[in-house]
Amino acid sequence: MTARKLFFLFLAAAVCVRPVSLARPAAAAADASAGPSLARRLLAMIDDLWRAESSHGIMTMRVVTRHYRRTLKLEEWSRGSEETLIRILAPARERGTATLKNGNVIYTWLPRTDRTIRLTGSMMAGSWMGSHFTNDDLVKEYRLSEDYDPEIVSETVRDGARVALLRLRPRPDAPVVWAGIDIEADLDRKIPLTARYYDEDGRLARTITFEDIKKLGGRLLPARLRVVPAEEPDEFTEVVYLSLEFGLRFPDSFFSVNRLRR
Amino acid sequence: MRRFLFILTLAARNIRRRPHRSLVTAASCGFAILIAVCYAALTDGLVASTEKNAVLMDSGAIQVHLPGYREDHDFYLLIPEPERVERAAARLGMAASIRLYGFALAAAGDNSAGVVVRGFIPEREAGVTRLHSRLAAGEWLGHGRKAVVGSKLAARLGVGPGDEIVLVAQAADGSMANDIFTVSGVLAPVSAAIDQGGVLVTEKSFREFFALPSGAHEVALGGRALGRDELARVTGELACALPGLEVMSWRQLFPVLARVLDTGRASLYVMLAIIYAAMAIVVLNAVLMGVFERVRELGMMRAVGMSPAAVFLMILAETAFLALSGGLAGLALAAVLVVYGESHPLDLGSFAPGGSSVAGIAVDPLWHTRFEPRIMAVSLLLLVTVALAASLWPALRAALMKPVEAMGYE
Amino acid sequence: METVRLEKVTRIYRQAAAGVRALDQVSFAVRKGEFTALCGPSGSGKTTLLNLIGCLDRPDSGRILFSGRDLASMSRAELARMRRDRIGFVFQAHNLIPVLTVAENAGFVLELQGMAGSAVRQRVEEVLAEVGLEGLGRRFPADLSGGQQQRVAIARALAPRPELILADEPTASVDSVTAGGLLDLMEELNRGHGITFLFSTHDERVMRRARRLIRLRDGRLEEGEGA
Repeated sequence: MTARKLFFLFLAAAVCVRPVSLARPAAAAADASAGPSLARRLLAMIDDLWRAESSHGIMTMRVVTRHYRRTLKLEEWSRGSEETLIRILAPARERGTATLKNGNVIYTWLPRTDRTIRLTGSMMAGSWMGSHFTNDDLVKEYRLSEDYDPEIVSETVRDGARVALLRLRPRPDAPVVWAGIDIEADLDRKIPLTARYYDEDGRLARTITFEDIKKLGGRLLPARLRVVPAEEPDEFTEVVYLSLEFGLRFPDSFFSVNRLRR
Repeated sequence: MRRFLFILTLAARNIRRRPHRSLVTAASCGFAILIAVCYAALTDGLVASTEKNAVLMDSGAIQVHLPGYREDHDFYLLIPEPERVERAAARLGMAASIRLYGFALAAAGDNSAGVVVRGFIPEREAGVTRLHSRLAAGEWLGHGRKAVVGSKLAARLGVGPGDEIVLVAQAADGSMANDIFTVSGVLAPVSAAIDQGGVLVTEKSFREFFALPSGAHEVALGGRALGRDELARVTGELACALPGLEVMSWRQLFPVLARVLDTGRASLYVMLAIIYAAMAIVVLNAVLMGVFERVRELGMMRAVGMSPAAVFLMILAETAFLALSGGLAGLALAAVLVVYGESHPLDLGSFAPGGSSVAGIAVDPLWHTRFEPRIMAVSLLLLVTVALAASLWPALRAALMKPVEAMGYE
Repeated sequence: METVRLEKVTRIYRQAAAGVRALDQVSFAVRKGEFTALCGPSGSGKTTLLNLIGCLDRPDSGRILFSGRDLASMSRAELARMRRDRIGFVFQAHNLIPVLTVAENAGFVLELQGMAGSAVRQRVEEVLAEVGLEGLGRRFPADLSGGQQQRVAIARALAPRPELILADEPTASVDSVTAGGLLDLMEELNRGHGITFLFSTHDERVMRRARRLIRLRDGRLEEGEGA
């Protein structure tokens, strides 16, 4: 899973993809035809924040639910948007468990049983490694600027930084899940701070916060992402990047099923 | 009393008057009861085997859950102290079996399928259901990581006894549970759910696999044959004893099946009514003919002092003899056929090769009859009653004839 | 002593619009021990008269007294008991029940009375002997000749020791020799046992055997008859 991939997982993760048509405001339509507005440029930059030909990183994922809490240490490699390999480093019990995404297909290798399983059907809707993501989230490609029309609805100053509230409305016929996304972004650094997702009924579904902005692989990025489902405000999944590098070269066989077993 | 016996003698003699007609009438009674009893035995057999498949092969008579579990099968909706349910069941003389359910992916070779893993203690489950008797191949659950799989699932995964399957699931602690289980046996068709996605493992294996140290999703109760009313009563008592838990009988759990089975029984009565109605027409015809051909004789009997009541009784007794003799003969033949059918079932497999099901419950392709002495007794009683009812009118006519007119009857 | 007394008995059959007067103001009495023939052409009202005396029918007017008791005062059940216990019937034909043996036919009325089995057997033996059919008790009516069948009917009528035996054309369906034999038997029973007989006939030879003749014509008694 690329860092970028993971990021968009947070932004657009869905159990199912279903088009939501909401009438596009006339003003936004005029904006769009007039050329790239500030809002549009900002969204495109957020989209591209994690974009890279290839990446390699190490992160921790902490999951807290009503029923369990767990912390995983993960290592990931990616090439483009199609190929991702992710392996569990800790805890020892799950060490070596690997997930390969190749296009729309997910394979999981389980060291305990030494089996590679291609996930199909209902398993795709299941949780990935007990987190608040589904396996489906892993294979879907999201680019907000393609599906949503952004609009800056307010601008404030917080802790000395200019913060814009970017309101996203889905384009007509865009196959999106969220009926609206509100993103608070640092206008100067072009980095998101929070994102709130609203469902078809306009209810808050989840909140993501982006913290600990620092240089990672030469880029200024939030190192900590935390998703909180609105239904279970005490639950969350938090990913913290320990290291991240971009622009690596991998042999062609690197993202193959054989490679999963190591 | 002596007069009554004389009338019976007279009736018995009258039956010999027209041997052919009597034979045909008795035979129609016998045939009616033969069809009725055989039909009842087949219907009962089907109903019983379907009910048995539902109750004895899968659900148990009563199930206890945490409220809400049945609706979304939330893995974490566990009965905290299943032992409490077991104790309450024991007080009511019922066996109880703790059950655990978890969704998983089962893979074997290149095949995989979503399954429901069911964990239970085999010895306890045997007190509630007879799943262990429905093995199509292999052996029941033993020690170790063994699994018994449903018939269609086994075919889909391409596994049989001795093969290995990998189960993958999210465990209770959020981790990725995965383990290899050896298929020890494959079930015969039981229910749609078990056939297509049932993987049975021991409670111990389940708890290890799913990292679930305590609690139960379900406690199934059985071990006692309960009639409809008794079932409702016991369910009610159990519900009182277990506040905060949802206690439901299989009739409440599978209302569609219960209705289908009830309809089966109702159709039985409709069928019996039709058969007996046809027989009643034959009897009515025979009795009417018998009365009309001896109007003069009946008139003479009345003239010399036989009372209308005695004539009435005589005609009814004639019918009763015919119905009883034919009925007993038919019943004897039916009993032989039904008892034979208990051990020599009709094989419906050839008609529906894929197996058939009623409301999600597999129907045993071997259609056994069911010998129920009560049905036999009721059929005979009903037969005689219907025959007597059919001859009421002719008997009444015979009794109320005016002797003078009857003797002048040409 | 009068067994039966008729006083101005009239019976009208209402089949036709006007009604047919089958019996018109008939009065006479039958005394105990009589051997009386009721004669007249067919349609003269003989059978109607016997039916009335035999409690099988009721008159439209007039009174019938049986041993001094008015039949009109009796219920249907009482009349049935009268027929069973106090009157014997011998009909022209179809007297017997084909599925019963001769003995059973002879004992039929006794059985209806509820008499004990041994008593029935004993009495049946007696009456069969009296009518000359000893040894034939186990036969069925179909095995007997017409005359023998009528004898069985007489035995049955005789068995309960009735006060009166009514016989409707008892000899009409047998040949004259047999008829003579039957009359011999009836006469013998009358003389020997004092049984009161009232029988109908239109046969001159039979009439000649009667000690008293009651002639009927068009429902009326002919002159010289009556009490």
